[in-house]
Amino acid sequence: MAGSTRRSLQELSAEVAANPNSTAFVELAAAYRERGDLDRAVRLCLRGLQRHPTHVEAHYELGRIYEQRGERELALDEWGIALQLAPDHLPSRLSIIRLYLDEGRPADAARELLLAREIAPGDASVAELWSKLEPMRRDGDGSEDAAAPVGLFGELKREYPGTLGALLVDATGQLVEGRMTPRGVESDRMLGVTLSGARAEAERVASYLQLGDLRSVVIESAVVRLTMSAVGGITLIVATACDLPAGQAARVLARARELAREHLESLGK
Amino acid sequence: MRTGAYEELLNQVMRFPGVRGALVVAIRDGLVVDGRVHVGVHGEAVAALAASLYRRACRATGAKRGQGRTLELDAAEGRILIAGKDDLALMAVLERRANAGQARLAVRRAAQKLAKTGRK
Repeated sequence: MAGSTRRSLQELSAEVAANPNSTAFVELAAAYRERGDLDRAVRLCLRGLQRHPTHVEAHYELGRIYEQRGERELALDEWGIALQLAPDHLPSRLSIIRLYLDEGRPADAARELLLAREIAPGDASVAELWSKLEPMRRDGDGSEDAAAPVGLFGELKREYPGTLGALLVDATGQLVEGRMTPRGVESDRMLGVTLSGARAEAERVASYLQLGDLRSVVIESAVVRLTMSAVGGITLIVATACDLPAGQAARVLARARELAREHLESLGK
Repeated sequence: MRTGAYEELLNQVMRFPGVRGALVVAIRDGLVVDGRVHVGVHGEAVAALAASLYRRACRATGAKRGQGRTLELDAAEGRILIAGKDDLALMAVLERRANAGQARLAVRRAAQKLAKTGRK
């Protein structure tokens, strides 16, 4: 067996070497993976994907290599890309399901299994994975908690529990409205000055690099996501919990902008 | 510009459609350590300007609000993503059409690896 693997490796290597545009890199990477030469397999796939970024099997194979290297999140990424390119790619879907089941994520696995069943209703692998899922589904899920409202943006906090606070800061860094830190107004003023300076610098960067008008700047730390954007000539800074999904944070920002606009209009600004 | 030491990290970010450049940058002085950029992207300028912005962002979110970690500059014609820890940051320059979610994930993961590599 070792002999046949080596021969096929040589043939594949020769083909890839002779024609860098060849898609044989996928097979070659699989052969390296089977031999346990995972680093070389990754390098080969990544290089091949630069020439063939929409090659579904290459993304699938790269996912398998990452999985074998113990890099599960990267594996999920690759299979996710494969499914974006080809939503009916069953091997990627099944790999994702197996990984979810292995990690004890029955809800995620069930969602993917429903899609897999649509793609391949009579597939034996899909049926087998359903049978593995059933005992896990009897376990319950966790729950979430909420925060308390304050100031102009109190409504925002009530509507979106992941909101930590919001500030309106003018061009000179003066605090116009809002609350953010639990340490009081002085701390909010300091934050406003620093962040309005950061937004001004971001505008210069966007202009110099010819990226067009600045829309927003997002700064994320281990505990908080701060999003800055302009409302008229005023800087709006919104803080949300960093574990709030980015899409939710975008909705919080949109709502905060509405509230800010209404408030500034009422002040005649 | 490329030295090869960070080739895999950079390739992981560059493989997404719409990513026009990926750079490993020394945060303190904004100098490029390693990078790959498409024609027309001024790697040194991106590194210098974005590192300065990143330092300011880290100061704002620093000791009081947790270590500054990632920064995303979203403009009409493109985006810049920066993720870093300690002395090095990974930066990506994105076209407007790029899938920001995927690129963000890739940059963060590459930055995590960068932090681990830097410690060795």
